[in-house]
Amino acid sequence: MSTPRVSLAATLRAVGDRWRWVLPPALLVAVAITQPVLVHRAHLTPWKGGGFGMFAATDGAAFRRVRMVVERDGRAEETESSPSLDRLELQARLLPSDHRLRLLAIALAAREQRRGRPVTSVRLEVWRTTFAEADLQPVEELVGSLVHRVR
Amino acid sequence: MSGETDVGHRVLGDSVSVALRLTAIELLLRPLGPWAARPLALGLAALALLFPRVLRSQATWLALAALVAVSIVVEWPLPDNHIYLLAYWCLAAGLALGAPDPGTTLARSGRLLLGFAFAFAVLWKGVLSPDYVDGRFFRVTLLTDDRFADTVAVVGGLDRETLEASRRALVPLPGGAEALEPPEVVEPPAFRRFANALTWGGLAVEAVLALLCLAPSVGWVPRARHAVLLAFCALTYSVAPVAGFGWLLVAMGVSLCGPTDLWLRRSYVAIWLLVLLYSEVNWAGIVMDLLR
Repeated sequence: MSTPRVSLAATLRAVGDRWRWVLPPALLVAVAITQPVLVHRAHLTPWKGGGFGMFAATDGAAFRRVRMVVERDGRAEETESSPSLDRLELQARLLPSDHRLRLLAIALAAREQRRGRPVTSVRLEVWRTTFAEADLQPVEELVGSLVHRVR
Repeated sequence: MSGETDVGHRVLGDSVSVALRLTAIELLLRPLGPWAARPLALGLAALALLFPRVLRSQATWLALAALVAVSIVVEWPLPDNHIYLLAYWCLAAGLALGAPDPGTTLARSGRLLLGFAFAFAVLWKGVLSPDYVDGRFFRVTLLTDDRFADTVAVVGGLDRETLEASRRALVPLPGGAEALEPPEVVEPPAFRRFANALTWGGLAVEAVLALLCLAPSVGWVPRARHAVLLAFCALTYSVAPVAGFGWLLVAMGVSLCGPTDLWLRRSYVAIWLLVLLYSEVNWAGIVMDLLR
């Protein structure tokens, strides 16, 4: 019995234009499989990251907050976000990774210095709210934190 | 072919053109991306609507896919899930327009994109989420998201004052502390029924849609797929404040229509307009005003 010969041209003809309709859904699946890993390991909110977890969990931007504490002259003072920080604050709230928190801390320190206030360190904490099943009583839990020393 | 059908064909064209036009309009209505990408995306979408050759050009859609992808990367993790779906969809359009049979290629991509998007939504709601199946997600969302306030008042029987009191009860004490006598959340039976209906209705319909879109297109499956997708868009986006997602699902649904499915294409366009109305007209607020 002879073995049929498979040429490259024949293989390409067999694949044909199939890749054109397979590639976009394959990308969707690849991203959507990765997203739950980021949610589990890096506390990415389920609502973001391309995994289609929106309208599935309360753990979204609305139920997370970033606590920002600036230390100077031996005192710790809690401060608020401002328009120049809002975007970084939201990014850190949705994904409280060291990288995102450090970007926010650096920007916060720079803002304080622009305002003529000395800064020795910045402490950031990301809290999320969970709700009890029976009566929806809210409880906060810490999902990320970082202390940034200012030189 | 009757005169009316002839006019319909001229206006609604083929499924690919209708799907692409609806996508281009969405890009104009909901501009996205950083400042450098936004004018390019808007310009391309406008040109695609004005010139059929631009609309049917592979380069247009590959460029739009690239611009949407750039905006996802630059703004990560801020973009919503439908922006990812928009990137895949623009890529699918670009690749399909280079294929020998663009209609079939785009329909296959569209069907799988719809199927997997719903399948992952079901995976999140049914398995991965810690608080969806037990109803907490919708109970909390309906009470706290102001976009649902009028709907909650009409369907759930919660007046504005009670709603505000419940919202205060849902604000946690800082640092993980717990109150000795915490304020109570008020949830009337009609409200709980509404939250349960949304929880299980949403999960069931999305599961059915995932199965219908991932199943082979044989027998009654295509008809059922269109019927459920149209009903899903008509109902979901009357409550869910994400018109962009609805429009995208409609555009993908149109791509699944056959060459002779004029009425089906008309139905999708009608639902597209309905989603537009939902997003621009506060229907629940109007109903509330009429009831007062």
